[in-house]
This record gives sequence, structure tokens and C-alpha cells, in this order.
Amino acid sequence: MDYSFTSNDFWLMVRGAGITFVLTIVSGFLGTLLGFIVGWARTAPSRIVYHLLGAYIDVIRSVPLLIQFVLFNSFMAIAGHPMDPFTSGLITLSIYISGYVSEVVKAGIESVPGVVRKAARGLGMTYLQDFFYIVIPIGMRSVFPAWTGLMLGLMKDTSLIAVLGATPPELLRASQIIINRIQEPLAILLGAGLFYFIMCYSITVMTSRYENSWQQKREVIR
Amino acid sequence: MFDYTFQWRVVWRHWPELLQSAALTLQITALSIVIGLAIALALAAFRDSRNPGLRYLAISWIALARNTPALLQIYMAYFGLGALGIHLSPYTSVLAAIAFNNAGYLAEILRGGFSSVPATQNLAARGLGLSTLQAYVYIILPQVVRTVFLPIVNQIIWAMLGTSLGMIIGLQELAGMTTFLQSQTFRPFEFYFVAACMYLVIAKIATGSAHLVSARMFRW
Repeated sequence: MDYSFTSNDFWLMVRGAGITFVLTIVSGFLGTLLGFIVGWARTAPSRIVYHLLGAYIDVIRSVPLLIQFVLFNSFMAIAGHPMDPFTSGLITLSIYISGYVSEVVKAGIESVPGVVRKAARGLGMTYLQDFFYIVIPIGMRSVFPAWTGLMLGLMKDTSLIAVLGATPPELLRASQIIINRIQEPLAILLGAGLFYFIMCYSITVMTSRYENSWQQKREVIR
Repeated sequence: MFDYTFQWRVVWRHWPELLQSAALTLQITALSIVIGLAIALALAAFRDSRNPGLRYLAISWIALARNTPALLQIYMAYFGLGALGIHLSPYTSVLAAIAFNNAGYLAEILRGGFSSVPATQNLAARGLGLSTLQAYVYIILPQVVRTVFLPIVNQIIWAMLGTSLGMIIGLQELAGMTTFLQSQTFRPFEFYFVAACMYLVIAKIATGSAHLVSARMFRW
């Protein structure tokens, strides 16, 4: 057995970073979709829906993600639908982030002033037209930075999927595997940290550029 | 679909252990927040300092704490520092890592709080004859505290959830103890369900009382 860092190890880490990225994209997409529906439903006039979904969000936000992973996994097993760890982890991550996204979506919808919506309806738009042409373009822009922050958090939280022993290994699990063999924790962890840092940081830079372009357009209109 | 018999009595038999481990979770949370807040105050001050060394220290601490996973930070404290000859116990590693993480996030919260008070308020207070100290204590700080109060409470909840990562390196706080007990009794669902309820109750009590406090304290 080879006790030094080989090029295979490097590729294992690169592939791990890829898995981390895929996990983030897929669960971020599903979670945003679910969170959008939940957040939208909470702006409906029904108090019952508001409080029921509020409880859903509360539970998601006050139970550690680790516990949610193992709880969901063992629940599916005793419900008679055992799942492979990767899928159950992916579903748990999506549900987990949906709780946070829904609060952001709700804040975005509520940030659109009532008079703007009334004006839209007064111009003859239906509720759905008002929602898709007025509320979403205005409201979602104002909460876009908060949503980006959530996605960055999600990327870091995918590392917890390792507790389920999910394969293929994502970045941190891949590093752990390499550390177990070559016993060089410091260097490998620094490398993994660098990977995470570059991924998070590049997203931050990209999105802030995007926001700036919106800002400039807004100033042109003004 | 549900031919599973739930066994709650075994959880009840281990209730004292669960309570004890929950106390450990609270203890780590409290310590990590106190240490994190102290460091964060320094970082927030260094962040705008004129000394480039201090400024870069603060900038890189904040960027590192916020852009890497908390689990990686715990691994770093537990396995990584071991390579340098610094051997920390699971308890110290988790505490150090969560405090490191908290400091990064809290520094940003505090910076936001201080920048939310317009500089002219300080000038006005000084112009009215208050000393620097008085202006800080009576004019600036109350407004900063009001802005940062609820974000800090959120960070406290986050820190509590973060301590559950201790289970991965074998620390027996609430999540770790639950994992240990379920591995002995083969009742994962029941144990994790009870642990989830305990986390939920603690978090609800904390946020509930924080909202009561803020409603009374920040009425102005």
C-alpha cells in the first residue's frame, strides 16, 4: 500500500468537489422549488395554512441537520422503503433548505408594496399576472443576496451527508478517506478547505457582479 | 406499510443520560458564544484598523470561518492540529471550532450593527457636551445592541445546532449520546426522534424568551 499522496488521491478530491457541487445544485434546485411554494402559500390569507407551514419551517430550523439525516433515513427504513444513503441524503438536504428558502421567498413577496400590487390589478392584470410579472421581478431581486447566502450555506452543509456513509464520497468524505490511508490530516484538510473556499468565494464574486449589473440598470431607469 | 412497533420505554430508561448530554450541549453552546463574542468584538475593531497586519488577520479570519464547512473546522481542530503536536480532546476541539466559526459570523453582525448608527450621532452627542465614553455608552451602544440582538440570538441557535457535529468525532453531547445509545439498543428512530424534540424545545425556549426580552427592552 502506498502511503503518500498520489495523483489518484488528487482526482478523488476533485471528483469529491464535483459531487459536492452536484449535491448543492440538485438539492438547491429542489429545495428552492419546494421553498418557493411553501413561502408563497404562507402569504395566502388563510391563517391555518400560515401556522401549519410555520411549524414545518420551525422544526426544520431548530433540529440539527445531522439528526434530520439519520431520522429521515431510519424513518424510510421502518416505513418499508429503505433508500440508499445518497438519495435519502439528497432528499433531506432539499427539505432542509426549503425551510430557509421559504422564509426568504415570503420576505421577498411581502417586500413589494401593496399599492404596486393594487395598481397592477387596477390595470386589469389577473392575480397570476400580477404575481409573475410584478411581484416576482421586484420581490425576488430584493432577496437575491439572502438566497445566495443560503446556497453557500447549503454547499457547506452537504459535507454532513458523510454521516450516512453516502457514496460516491463528496469532498470532505473523500479527504477523510485519504487521511485514513496516508495519515497526513493537516495538509489534506487544508487542501479540502481551499477547495471549499474557492467554490464559495467564486460564487460570492459571481453573484455580486450580477447584483451590481442590476443596480446599474436600476440607476439607468432612474 | 407500517408493521413496525415503536419502543419508547427504552428511551425513557435512558432519559437521565439524554438530559445530561443536553446539559453538555448547552454548556458548549454558551461557552462558544461567550468566547466567539469576545473575539468577534476584537475582529470587528481590527477589521477597520489602520494597522494592515491586524486588518488582514481580521479579514482572513472572517473569510475562512464563513467560507468553509463547520465540520471541516472541527476536523481541523481535532485531526489537523494533532499533526502539529497539539492534541485536543473532542470537547475542546468542538468548542474551539464552533467558537472560531461564531467569531467570524458574529464579527460581521457586530460590524453591521456599528455601521447602522450614523457617525453624525456621535458628533451630535459630543456637541451636546457628552464625553467620548458617555456618547458611546448612552447613545451608540443602545442602538447597536438593538440592531444586533436578534441576529445574535439566531447565531446562538446556530451554534447549538453546530455542536451536534461533535457526534462525528465521538463527543457525547446530545446528538453523540443519542448515537451511542441507539447503537446499544438498536432503536435509531425512537432515539433520534426524542433528540430532535429536545433540540426543538431548547431552540423554541431560547427564541421565545429572546423575543419577550427584545419586546420589553427595545420598545423605544
